[in-house]
Amino acid sequence: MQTIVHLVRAEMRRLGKSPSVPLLWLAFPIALALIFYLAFGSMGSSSGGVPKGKLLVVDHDNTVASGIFKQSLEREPMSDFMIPVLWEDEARIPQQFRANAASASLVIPKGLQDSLLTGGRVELTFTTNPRQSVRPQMIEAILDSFLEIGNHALGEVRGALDMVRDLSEEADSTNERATVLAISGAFYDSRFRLEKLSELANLEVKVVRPNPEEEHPSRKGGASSFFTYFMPGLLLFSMMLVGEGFEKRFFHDVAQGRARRIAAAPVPRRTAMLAEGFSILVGALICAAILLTASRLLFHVRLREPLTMGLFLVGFAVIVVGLLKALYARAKSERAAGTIAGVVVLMNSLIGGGFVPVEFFAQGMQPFARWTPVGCTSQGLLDVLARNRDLVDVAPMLLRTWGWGLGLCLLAFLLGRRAHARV
Amino acid sequence: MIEVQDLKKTYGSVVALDGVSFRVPDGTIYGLLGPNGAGKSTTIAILAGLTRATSGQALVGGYDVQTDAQNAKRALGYVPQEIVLYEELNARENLEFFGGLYGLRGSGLRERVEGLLGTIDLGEHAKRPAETYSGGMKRRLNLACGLVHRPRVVLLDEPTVGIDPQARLHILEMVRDIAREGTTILYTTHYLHEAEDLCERIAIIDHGRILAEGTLTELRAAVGERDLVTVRGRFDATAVQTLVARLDGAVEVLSVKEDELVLACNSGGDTFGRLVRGFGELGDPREISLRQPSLENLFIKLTGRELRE
Repeated sequence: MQTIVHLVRAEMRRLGKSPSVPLLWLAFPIALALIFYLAFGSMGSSSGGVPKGKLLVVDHDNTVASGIFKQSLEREPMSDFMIPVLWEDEARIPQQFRANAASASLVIPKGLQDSLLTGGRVELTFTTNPRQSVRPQMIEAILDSFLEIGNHALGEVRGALDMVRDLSEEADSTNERATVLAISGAFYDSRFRLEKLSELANLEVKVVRPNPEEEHPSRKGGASSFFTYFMPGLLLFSMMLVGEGFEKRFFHDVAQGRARRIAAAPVPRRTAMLAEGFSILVGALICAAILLTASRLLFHVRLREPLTMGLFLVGFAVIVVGLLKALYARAKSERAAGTIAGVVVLMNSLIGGGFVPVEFFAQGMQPFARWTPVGCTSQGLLDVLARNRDLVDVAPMLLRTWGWGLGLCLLAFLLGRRAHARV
Repeated sequence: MIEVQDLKKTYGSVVALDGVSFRVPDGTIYGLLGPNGAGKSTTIAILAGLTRATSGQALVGGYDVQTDAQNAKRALGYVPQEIVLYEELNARENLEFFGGLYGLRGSGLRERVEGLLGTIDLGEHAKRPAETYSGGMKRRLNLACGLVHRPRVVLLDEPTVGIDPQARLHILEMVRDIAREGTTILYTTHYLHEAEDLCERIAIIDHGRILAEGTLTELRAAVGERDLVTVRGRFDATAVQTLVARLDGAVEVLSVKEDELVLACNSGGDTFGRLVRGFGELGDPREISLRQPSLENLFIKLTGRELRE
């Protein structure tokens, strides 16, 4: 066991010395994820930089205060991230969302100005387009920041608004000129004193994320939902790519004579084979850990049932070991092995839902796909992450995963004995 | 100690080793000389436990390499002809890795590695990846990786191939130092002068058979202290036989090719003069060279070809 640990540590150290290698291994699935995200996350057409989202603004108040608010949305930095469009018909917003013509909507309620003048709380309704992922989040984030500042501003503006109210109530024409000047002055001062003011927090945004029944869960909106559905397949695809990267290195080591030198040491063939298998296993699991962490941090995928997920991922890492060792065991050359392994990995991912969840497949295809190594594992992970299933619920898929893993490892062992004899 | 008895190895119909036997006493450097395909590497591979002999027996440090492979491997240090290192790792990490394969751990391994880094003059470069080393530095590290575990027997498979003369001298000196510490060394090489300088006993191997074996003195005596005459040009085979017969056994034909004739000629007397005078009858000789008795002469006498062929 000490020798196995020694060999695995050496492999990991080699990887650590050339960090570009694992990055290259991960580059493809990450690029693929982004492509999918852009496609299925409905980022829409874009050319250069992050595309701006369209915000439909419905103003039921139509007062000076709501006008100030709308004008603010058109200024920087808001204008860097969104295009506010004044929208009259609130009822037609869902239609605009379905047509993917807007990223979000903001409804200013009637009585905004009055509420502000009387010190009451005002609730704006912000609704995201469930068909889009990134842009609604961007608008929401910038709107949050804006409102925090805006609440300060409104505190200052309140004085000016009080004067507007007095003006309208008293209708004293002799004072009109002086009053208007005072209002202008107050607005001017408020601009410079924004940062000095304490938070008033009168303005609140109620965020609505539509959850229509007819939509597929992966389209519920937000990057989180999207990645919860697509992450398992891409994760498994990445693990296979990393495993293949390791196996290529081992094959290269045979060609370079390194395996031969190890064979000349008192290291039994069985031990060397196990060490290679463990190296692949550890590498694949490190890859999984990196991608899971990225999914959690960047896309807020909720990772639950750690034991169940761990069993699936270790089981799939065993599949990766068995599959690749078996594929490379009989290969005559590195190129041939690489080509065959590449095709097998790709086909496995295609058939097993590595790129698109199995449940998106044609009905007749789904049962078959769920029996493949990638299919059963990705379905199991998806059930855990997206449908809150637990270990008992996904046990059949887990058994398939481990069955594949152990079966392929046995096959690899039988074939590998001959492969190791050729060092 | 290495003991090889009637070792045979066949690959299908190809006979790689055909009854090779030799013995290397403790603390000696034993040279195995032979051209490519002679059977040197197969012998080394069997001794290192990398391939199984078809028949025969090989003992390393008293352990049978086939029936007691793990103990034989523990006693053995294998330095392959190719530079086999982990290029991403530095010298220290490479040495620690190969030491670890033999069960060395902790401070014992670290001390041994530091000592070896000094021996191979890589102490200052120990933190650089091996891929940045020169050919000579890699060769020295390649050699040291086979010595980390202080083996009793070391197999050196052409350890000086492709390096400059200075680096070669350094490696040869290292090999002598290892032998002085009591290590048994089996040294294969293409370079005859290396074998002459380094090895106490030498075996000449070709086509899987040992053709001659002994100390350098014994082998030189086997040449018969005769000069080696090489004639290049065009020859009449009958005329060659006639000339040789006229010289009353003072000249022996070692090999005759279409454009090259190799003769062994007794030193002293007027044999060489009579031979040169007779060349006119041979046909159209264009170039004549004379070499003093050496291991190379013996090699050519035994194999009919030069070592580099």
